[in-house]
Amino acid sequence: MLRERETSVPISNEELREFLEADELDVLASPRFKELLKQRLWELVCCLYGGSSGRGEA
Amino acid sequence: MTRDTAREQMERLRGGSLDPDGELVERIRRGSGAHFSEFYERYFHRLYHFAYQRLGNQADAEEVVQETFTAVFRCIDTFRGQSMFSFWVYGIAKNTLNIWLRHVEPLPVQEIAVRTQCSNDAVHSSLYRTKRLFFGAAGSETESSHA
Repeated sequence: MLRERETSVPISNEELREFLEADELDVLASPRFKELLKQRLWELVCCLYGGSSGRGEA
Repeated sequence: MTRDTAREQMERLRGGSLDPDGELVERIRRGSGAHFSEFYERYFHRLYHFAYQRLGNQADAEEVVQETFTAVFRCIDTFRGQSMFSFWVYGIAKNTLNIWLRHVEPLPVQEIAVRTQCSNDAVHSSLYRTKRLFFGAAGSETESSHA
């Protein structure tokens, strides 16, 4: 197993590798969903941490 | 910033070297939009793929991705750097999915039959076989204790 972690759920090397390997795959998510979620999350970050400029493009 | 391949990241995890996402976390905590964007682009596909692989449909995967990201940003202040950030995010994704699955109402047999264009008997039979397989794989647990 990998070194100490802060999560409470058991995580194997294999599943973490699978998680990271998604970078190399074509993932067919809706671009509209992706953009809308980004906007919502940026609003959340601004609210929580005081964002530096609009929509995460600073 | 150059994106590490999965293999490189796994090597970093094993070797205990610097977290490639460490700086991102710090900058997001300070409200940097550019670093927020970089983080979002880096993790969106990972989280979407994770959720879609396990749920098999877009609507549910989107819900889990949204809940996971929201949890990550709400809790990012509690990340202490004792693990790689990707590990931490994955742990939140896994927790979120488990909680989400526990709260999903199972579909009635009739609805499954309509959606899959199978008879009620065929659905009952498939569910029975799946249950048998599950408890077979679970080993010591008995079916009766979960009925």
